[in-house]
Amino acid sequence: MLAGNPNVGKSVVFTNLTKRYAEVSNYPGTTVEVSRGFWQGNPVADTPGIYGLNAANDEERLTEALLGDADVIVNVVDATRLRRDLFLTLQLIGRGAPMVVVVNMMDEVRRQGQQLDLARLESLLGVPVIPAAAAYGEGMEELAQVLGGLRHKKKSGCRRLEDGESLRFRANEIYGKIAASGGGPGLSSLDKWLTRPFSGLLTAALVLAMIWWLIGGLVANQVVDITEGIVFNRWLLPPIVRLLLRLLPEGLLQQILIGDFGILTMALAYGIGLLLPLVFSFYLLLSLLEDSGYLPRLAVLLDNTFRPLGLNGKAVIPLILGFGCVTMAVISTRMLSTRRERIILAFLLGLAVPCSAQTGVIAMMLVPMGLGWLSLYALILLSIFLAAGVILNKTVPGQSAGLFLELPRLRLPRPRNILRKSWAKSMAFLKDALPLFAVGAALITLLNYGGGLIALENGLAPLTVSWLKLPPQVVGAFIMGMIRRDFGAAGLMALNLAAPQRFVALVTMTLFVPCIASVLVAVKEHGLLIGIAIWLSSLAVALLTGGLLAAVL
Amino acid sequence: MNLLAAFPGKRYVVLKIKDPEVRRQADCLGMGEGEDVYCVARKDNGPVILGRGGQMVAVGGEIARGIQIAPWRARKK
Repeated sequence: MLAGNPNVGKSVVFTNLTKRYAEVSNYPGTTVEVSRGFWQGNPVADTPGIYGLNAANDEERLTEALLGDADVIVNVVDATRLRRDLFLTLQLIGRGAPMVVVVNMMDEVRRQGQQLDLARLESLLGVPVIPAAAAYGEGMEELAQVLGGLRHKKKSGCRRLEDGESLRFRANEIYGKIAASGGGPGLSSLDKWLTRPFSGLLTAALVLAMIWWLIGGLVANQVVDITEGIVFNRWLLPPIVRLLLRLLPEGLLQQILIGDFGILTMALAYGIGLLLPLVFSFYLLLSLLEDSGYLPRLAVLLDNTFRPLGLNGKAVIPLILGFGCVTMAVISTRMLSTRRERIILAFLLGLAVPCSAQTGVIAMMLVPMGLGWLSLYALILLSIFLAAGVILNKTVPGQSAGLFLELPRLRLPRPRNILRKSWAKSMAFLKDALPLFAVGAALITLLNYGGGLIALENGLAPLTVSWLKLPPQVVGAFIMGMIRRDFGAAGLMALNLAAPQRFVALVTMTLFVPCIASVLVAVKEHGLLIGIAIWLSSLAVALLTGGLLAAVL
Repeated sequence: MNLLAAFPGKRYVVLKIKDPEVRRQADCLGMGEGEDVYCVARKDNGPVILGRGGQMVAVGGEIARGIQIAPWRARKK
């Protein structure tokens, strides 16, 4: 079992041992669930990063529970933050299981010219210590050798844990014997630039503008023109459609596969031709931000902004992740200290944060409309986000915690990890989205085939035509949006809308009900009542805002 | 004095941490009571960034108000 402080490289060691990819990022709390794999036929678990064994939060309780069954503990520590990490190391040694300490990031220690006496550390701790730079595979063979010997060793008895103060005293004492203590203030000039209000906000605005330009301008136009326009619509679909027209009799099955809302002609074309390039490029940019260590700096910068919303700056991390995938972001709200903050953020994510695929489609439709519409869109969403946050802060019971966040060092992202992570997340998107897209497409075809879609369009006309001032055909897109908002946004592209109508439709779709997967995760994390409340409130806010905008524009 | 009165670049000793959960976290991080830390950066109402040996922790305004510190040199006397 792998255990250690957050952000020390446990997931890299796990990947090296098991050859299974586990997500790696440069902020505390990347691993929110246990990843499992095998090393030489033995099960290996990668646990969430923890600072101590105090059963103070879900991650610590989970690690405690897994420690009971662990045959061998691999404690990964950060060589540049060894004094901090020794606290947990001493606690883990006390558990009595055979243990090895992997002192990771030795490359950074060497670069800094720091000296660590690891032989002395080994004798002081009484367990094997291996120097490593896991990102480059250094020390992994030695680890395998040590593990080979340790797995036959028996557990000794569990020692009673000392209190925090005595453990810290012992950790400091050991550190003092193996390293020159001290170290001055560690904020680099780039750190200062990123955490000062003016320069920090300027950087954040530039980063945001760059993301929108790259996704909405470059990928949405140039790349999607190729993937959807040429690859799908010109090369792949026509021969498939011709073949199926020959093979299948005219009727429902043909419509389900290749009709106007067909699984192949719409669901697959949207999912792979249109959304996949947008999602992949979005994850590339997001991974750059994650791996550089920028997000915790943004948390410091925005801490005071989040306070009126009942959140602290740490909330910015799940929030930014939400622009990748809202479902994953709802899971990562676990990094927040209190249930109250997690509920507030789950509401805000469900309401006003579009995921990467949806953002891509929105950018694709909004960017050509000009800066004015784009700014108005951002202003409206930001206002609703802030207003909802303030209301939630006043209504959700309990108390929020203040910011207490360790800042990882700024790092140059490694291209291999960026590509690997973006690929893994994009594949997860396809695995999650395509079946739902297919179900949605089949559902709409069935409705259309039986005349139900026209009946729904007519029945909902007071809402769509009179209130939102949109054509009745928009109902199809909103039904798709109930399954996934990105699918619904893609459905809007097929409609011929005037600029104000397009704007109303996009804002309404952005605020529309969160996708099925995120509602299910919210139910799992916070209960059925909260899940229903998130769904209903999103629907109400979306329709209310859309109607008001339609009346004004 | 509390943490919000710290000057960037100066070294302090942590005397008392009011919130028990923050005290526990600070112990784990090696920035608990009795430890000496640098004030790396500070906004008027927080956050305050504390540093020690290349390690940095951001402390929000409310928590910072509940952390009592003293200048490091004064403690040595």
